[in-house]
Amino acid sequence: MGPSGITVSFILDPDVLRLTTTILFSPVNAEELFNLRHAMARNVIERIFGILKRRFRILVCPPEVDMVWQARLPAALAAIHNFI
Amino acid sequence: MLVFFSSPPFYTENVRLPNADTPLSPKIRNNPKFFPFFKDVVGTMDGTHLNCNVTAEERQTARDYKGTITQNCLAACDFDMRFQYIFSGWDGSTSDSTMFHDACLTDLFVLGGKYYLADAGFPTCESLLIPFRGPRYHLAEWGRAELR
Repeated sequence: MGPSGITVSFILDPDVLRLTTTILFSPVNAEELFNLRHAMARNVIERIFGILKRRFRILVCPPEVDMVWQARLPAALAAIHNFI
Repeated sequence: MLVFFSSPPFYTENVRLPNADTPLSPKIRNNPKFFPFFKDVVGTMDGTHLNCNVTAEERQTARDYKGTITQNCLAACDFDMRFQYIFSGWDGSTSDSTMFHDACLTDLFVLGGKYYLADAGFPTCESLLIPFRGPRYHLAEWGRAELR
């Protein structure tokens, strides 16, 4: 039995869990719905940063060269990313 | 090598801003959740931090909000995961809106009536569409917080 008298197996039941998440995650007004859609459309840029950093490890472990060259690195790698 | 990849013609050939007759991305057009509402969108924009090695004098300005030494990089991409614009070399302590402002002054040009999707760190202006600030935002995280 859980603290509030509900059995734990009831809380962990997949259907109940799914229902709970659906209720909690769904937007309740127009502004929240807009923000949800906005975030859904915007996740592409977060993904592309992930790809760039996974693909070119030089962005994670930077070279010890002058900052002028390091600043040009992302631009060059973005061009290579688009080329590939 | 670096000069070749980050300068014309290779760079301008591969990383370029959309022009007036670039069609709307099929990812937006074919999705009824997005289409009539985001019909003038050309891409998304965000800033990211990339680790860098700087001299001791520059280290204070290069320290970002997480405490690591980074350079800040503003990027715009379209919905087919191709970069449209990249603006790098700012110190890690710079905010996204400062970078955007400087990029607008330098070479970022957004077509009239079109806009990018950006997050809440960016300024409100005609060429950016940012989310509402008051309401709950990352609903999945709110949901997890309430479950706890």
